[in-house]
This record gives sequence, C-alpha cells and structure tokens, in this order.
Amino acid sequence: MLDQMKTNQRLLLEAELAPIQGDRFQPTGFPDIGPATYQLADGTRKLLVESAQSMANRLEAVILGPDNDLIPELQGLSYVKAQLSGASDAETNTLIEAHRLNSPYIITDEKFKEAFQSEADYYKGKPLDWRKIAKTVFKYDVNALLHGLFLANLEDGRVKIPRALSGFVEASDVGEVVSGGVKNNPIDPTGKIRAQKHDKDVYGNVPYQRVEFTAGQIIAHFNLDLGLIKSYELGDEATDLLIALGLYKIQKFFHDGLRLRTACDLRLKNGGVKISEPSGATIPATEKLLRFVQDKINACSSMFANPPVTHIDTATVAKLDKKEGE
Amino acid sequence: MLGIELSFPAGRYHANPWGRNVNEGEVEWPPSPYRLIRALIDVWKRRRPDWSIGRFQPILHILSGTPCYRLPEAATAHIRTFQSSNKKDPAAKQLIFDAFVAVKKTDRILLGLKNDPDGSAAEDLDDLLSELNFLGRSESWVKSKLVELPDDIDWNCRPVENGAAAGVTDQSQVACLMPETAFKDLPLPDTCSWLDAVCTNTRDLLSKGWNQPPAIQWSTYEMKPGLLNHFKPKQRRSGYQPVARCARYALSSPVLPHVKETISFAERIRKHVMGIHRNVQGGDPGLISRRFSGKDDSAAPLQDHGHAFFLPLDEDNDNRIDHLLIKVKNPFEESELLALDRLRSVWQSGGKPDVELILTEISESADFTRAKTWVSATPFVTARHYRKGRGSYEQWLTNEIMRECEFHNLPQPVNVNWIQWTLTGSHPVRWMQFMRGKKGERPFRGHGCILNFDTPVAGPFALGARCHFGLGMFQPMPDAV
Repeated sequence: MLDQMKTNQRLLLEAELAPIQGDRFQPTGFPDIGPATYQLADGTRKLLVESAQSMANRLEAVILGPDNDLIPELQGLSYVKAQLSGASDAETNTLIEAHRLNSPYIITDEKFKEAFQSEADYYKGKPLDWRKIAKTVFKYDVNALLHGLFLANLEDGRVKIPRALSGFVEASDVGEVVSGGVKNNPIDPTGKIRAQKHDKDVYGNVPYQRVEFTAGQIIAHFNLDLGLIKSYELGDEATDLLIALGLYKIQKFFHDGLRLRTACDLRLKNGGVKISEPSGATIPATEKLLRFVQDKINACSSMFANPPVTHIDTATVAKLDKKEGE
Repeated sequence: MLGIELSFPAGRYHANPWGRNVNEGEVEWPPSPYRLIRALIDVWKRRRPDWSIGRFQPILHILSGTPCYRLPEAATAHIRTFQSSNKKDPAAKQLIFDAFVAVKKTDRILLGLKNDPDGSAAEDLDDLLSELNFLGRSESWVKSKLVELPDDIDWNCRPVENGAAAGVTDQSQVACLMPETAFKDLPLPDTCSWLDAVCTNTRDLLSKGWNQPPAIQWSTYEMKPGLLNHFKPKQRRSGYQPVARCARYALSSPVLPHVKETISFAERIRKHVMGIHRNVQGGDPGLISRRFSGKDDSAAPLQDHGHAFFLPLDEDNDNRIDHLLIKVKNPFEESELLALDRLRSVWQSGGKPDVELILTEISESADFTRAKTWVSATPFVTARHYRKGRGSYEQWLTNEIMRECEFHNLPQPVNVNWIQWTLTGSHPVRWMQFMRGKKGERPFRGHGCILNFDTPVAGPFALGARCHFGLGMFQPMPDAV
C-alpha cells in the first residue's frame, strides 16, 4: 500500500479547509499579543492558524480516548504508563506527557532508565548509535519516533530525535473582522451589588471586543520525513507501521479534529487531502489505513516491550515553598 | 558551476543567527553555509552512519569558503507566543518572539560553490542534501539538492571581496566555513581537527573559553537592495479607487494647539503622515509619496503646487486649531489614502497632551466654502524679497498677492486692504506673534490683508511662502460669507 511513496525522502501533504459556517474563523493567539499575522514580500497577508507545536499536540491527541489512554483500535502499540503515589495518585503516560519519555515521572524510574540506557547503548561520553536508540524508543514509546523526543533528563542529554511528522495550518489573503459586545448585568450595571461570599470585580457591565478573520485560502500542510524513518533501519514492518500511523493520524485529524477552537470550526474542502510530493501518490482512506496499522502492530509485536504498555510506579513528593519549609 | 538549490515548502525560514539570543527577534538571512554544513553533519551521523570521516571530509571542502547567493524577494516577520516559565504561577509565562523569513513556497535560493568536488564527493553531497528535511528550527522545512548552474547567473548577494556589484548597498555578516588551509594556521592544539572544530557544541566552546567556533569565518556580504523587506502594496481586489482630493479631520485634545503654532503643527503632521505612508509602503525609500514630501527624486521642492497642502483651521474662532485639511490638486493614490486613514494622533511639545485626529470626511473637492471676501487667518509671507525699484512696499506686497493668486488659479482680487492683526479669532493676534518659518528657519516677515473678489471664490486657500504648511491662509470674512 505504501510502496509508491516509500521511495521518496519525504511526503508532503496538503488540504484546503474552509469555515464550516460563514466566512469567519478565530485564529490561534493570546489576548494581549493577538494573532500571528505576517506579510510576504509581494504584499500577501498571511496568518498562522495553527503552529507546528500545536499541530503536534493535536496529532498526538487523535489516538487518545476520553480517559487519556490509547484508543482500543490501536491497542498493541508501545507506550509507558506511570502510576504516581505519594503527593499525587494520578496516572499518566507517554502519550499525554509534554516531553513523552523524557517526563521526570517516567525517566527517573531507575529500573526503566537502566533498561533504556542498556538497550540504546547510550552512556555518557559514548558515541551515539541512532539505530539502537530508535529501536529502543520504538520498543517503549513508538509515537515518540513520529513526534520527536529530547531526552534532556537522561545522562548528558544528547538524545534528540526530530519530529518525523509535522504540520501547520495557515491562511492567505486574510482580513480582520472586528466585532464586540457587552456582558450585561441587568440587576446592577455599576457592579456594586455583590454576592456576600464573592467580593470580586466580576460584576457590572463589561464591554468587550473580538477580532476574527476571513481568508482567501486556508491550507493545512503536513510533512512526513520518510528519510528519517527509513534511516532507523527498523525493518519493513516497523517502517510501514510508522508511516501508516503518521498518515492515519493525519486522516483522523481531518475526520474529527477540525474544531480547533470555539469559533474555529473548519471542514475539508472538495478534494480532500492531497499528496503534493511525490506527485501521483494518494493517501489511503482512514478505514483502510487503520486495518493496515493494526496488521503492522501485530507484525511488530515482538519489537515492542512485552507487554507493549510498560507500567512503572513513581513516588512523588510535594515541594514545599521556602516559607512553608521554614 | 556547481551549486545548491534550497526551497522552503512551508514558506518560512526560522533560524537564529549565531551569537544572538533566540528572543531578540533576529533572523539569519541569507541561510549561512555554516548552518547548512552542521545540518549535513547531523544528516550524515543519523542517516549515513556507515560513511567514514574520509568520505565526508571532501564535502566540507566543497562547502567551505564564501559562496555567492541568488536570493528571492523575502520579508522578515515574527510570531509571538507565551511559553511556560516553569514558575509556580501558571499565568507567569514568558513572551517568546519566533522570528523567521517569509518566502514564497516556490521560490528557490541558489548558492554558487567555488570549490570543485573530488571523486564522488558531489554525489555524496547530493545524497545528504536530499535527506535534509529542515534547516534551522524544525518547522523550517527545506528541500535541497545539488545543481549544475550556468556561469552567467546574476548573483544578487555576494561576499564583499568579490567587488561590489552596481547598486549594492545592504550588507550582512554571513557565517561561512573557514577553508582547511586557513584553519591549519590557527593556533589550536593538533587534537582539534577541522571537522572537530565544525562539530564543536556550545558546552565545549564555553569550557574552552572560546567566544565562537574556531572554524567559523564571518564574511561581509552585500545584497542588492529590494530583496528583503521591500513590500509591494497589495492590489485591491475590487479595483475600486475612490477619487479623493481632500481629507478633513476634527482635532481633539485637552490642549489644542494655538493658531500661532500653525506652521509647526502642519510640519509635524506632514512628517507623521510621511512616516505612516513609508510603513504602508513597507519602508521602501523608492516609494515615498511626492505629494506628501513636496519634493522630487533629487529632493528639490516641487514647483507646481500639486503637492499636499496641510492646512490647520480654527473654525470656531477661539484662536485654537480645531480642524485640519490635507488637500491636493490631483486625487490621492490608494497608499496615500491608507496613510491618511491611519493618521490618528500627533504629539505636542512642552509636555502637552497628544492631539487626536478624527477623520471626518474624504471628499473629491477641497472647496468647502465660497465667498467674495476673504481675510488672512495666518500671516502671508512673500516668496520673494522686496528691493528698491519695485515701487512702494505696500504696492509691492499687493502685487505679490496678485501674483500668488495667479499661481493658484484664483481670480485677481478687486482690492487688497492690509491689516495689522487677525480679525477672526477671539482676540487679535499680531502677525509677528505667529511662528513664520519652519523649524530652524529664520522667520519671514508676516502680513495680513482682506481680499475682495468680483465673484465668489472657493476655499479655504493659502498663498505665499510656506503656504503648504498653513501660512498665508485665508478664511471667509465672518460677515461676508
């Protein structure tokens, strides 16, 4: 299924999007610094709707269930779960931790750390063997090979695996739509009459303004670094799994991830997802990809940890403030 | 000639220049050979680990020295985000500037290499380039390959030692790889090879007390102007172009400027509008509005009164400027209208509050009033000097008024009566009390008069020297409109 694209060093995909209703959409941004607009030399105004970092989070999230655990369809993929004890009794895993395997809740586990270092042959002062490192990461947290990993908390912090899958959404020929309104308090617009137990400045009438955008074109771009995946030399089955998993995440993102924010609900325009490089290649349908991924998970089961979900227990303590410590 | 072709499929190149903090908002342009080499070393180590040092070293030779560039038009930009500072307060986030150069996704950057390859080094270099997926930050997607280039390429960014090309003015420092022969002359221990020096990381640099990698060679490059940050104004989609010759503003401030400051206020407005217009045009000095500057390309003043009049008005006759007219003979262009639309406030000297400007009208005609009798609101100053042989001083002044009316396509007044002070304000102001020259200029002698015409004349209008800055301005005689 993937033979046509595997000969290339990279896979570039794009898909045109449009607001699901109307013409306006809300870009990513912060209240006091605004949206990420910029201008090309020819005068075209551009807007970054979704950054590479944000897209990485979204692509990771598409295989998570409501309990922040792996969806049943993909059971068998490797990842690490940590059960915290002490100051917290939460459960976390490498699929939701910000830095995946590098999370201190995970990489500080001595047994896990020793096993990882030994299998990756990664020790201070020793040259890196990227193939062994990739094989070990594949064994414990396969998704980290797609989304990147920086093991800053392990030994001398030299293991940096770049993202194999990245993407962003941008809009061209953008224009601002400024609107506003007032949050009314019909009881007391001055805000002096307050609930006895809530004496905060949240009463009264509050005028507000909002800025949305229109765009001539909104395009989601993805880049799957096939050369990097192939360089890990994990074998055909594992290489196919990584590529297909990356493509499945992209398809899944378009299927159920396009409500990026309250006022940024997008839809795929006619034409769907296209592979712009290599030309002529086509992306398989989501169901077909899922079945393919499931086959490859079975084929790679011996490469994953046994069981594929590695459980560790991490004791935690609450750090006291200086004043509290005294 | 052997060259490298780079293109950025995401349309952005994110790379922090060597030695600069990531949050300074600076961005490296053009992409430096030193960065490219280090990226290729990373590709070699990760994706071709079986290659020996001896196989990689010839690639370094090809890329060392100072290549020439053929760059597309590009623009610097940045995105701001708040990132966690790992503080207890989750709201205490640090503002991060992510600077980049925006290029078209289809644009190509060419590097002309000066060194000939040995053996199969060219094929190896092409192989590594094909594996390169990003250059700089990871979102800075790149496609690169080795290309054979014709010898007659017009390199628009070249090292200075090659001699400056015609019209080259913009300069930048580019991090290049020092050739091995030059590197060997450095006073370094024998254990530090050329390749080791390129691979030096920041930790090693700091531990050895070096301020930069020993193999880096900073070279001054000259770039043809117009390549970076010279924005072309976007064409209007609708093609609609309003015909507008006059913009009228209402002024608002706790302390409005006095009519005596007319010329300095108008001068400040002109300077401010020119600044806004320069930003509208992307800072391109070649796109300065002649209408606002009042000067031609050689900085000589325009002579036909076709450029803008900046006329501060006191419409409620309280001796304070409360309105402003900016008018021209031929209609404003789109970029000029945009600048006028963005004129919102102007500062005042002496700690006085800013004056807010509210655009109340954009009109095709600048003639708001018609009257037969007009009186000086600001001092009329002559464009020429009086000398003996030109009759009496008063007669000469009257002739100057007649002459000025002709220049401004006004009918000849039937009579001119000279007055000593203003008649329109809340109290009289002598002409000598007005500022009568631009900043740093010796003040002209000011006069005032009442002009009577046969037929109603449209206005307001201004005559004489500095009339484009509000001197010699006339308004209808209150009882004669």
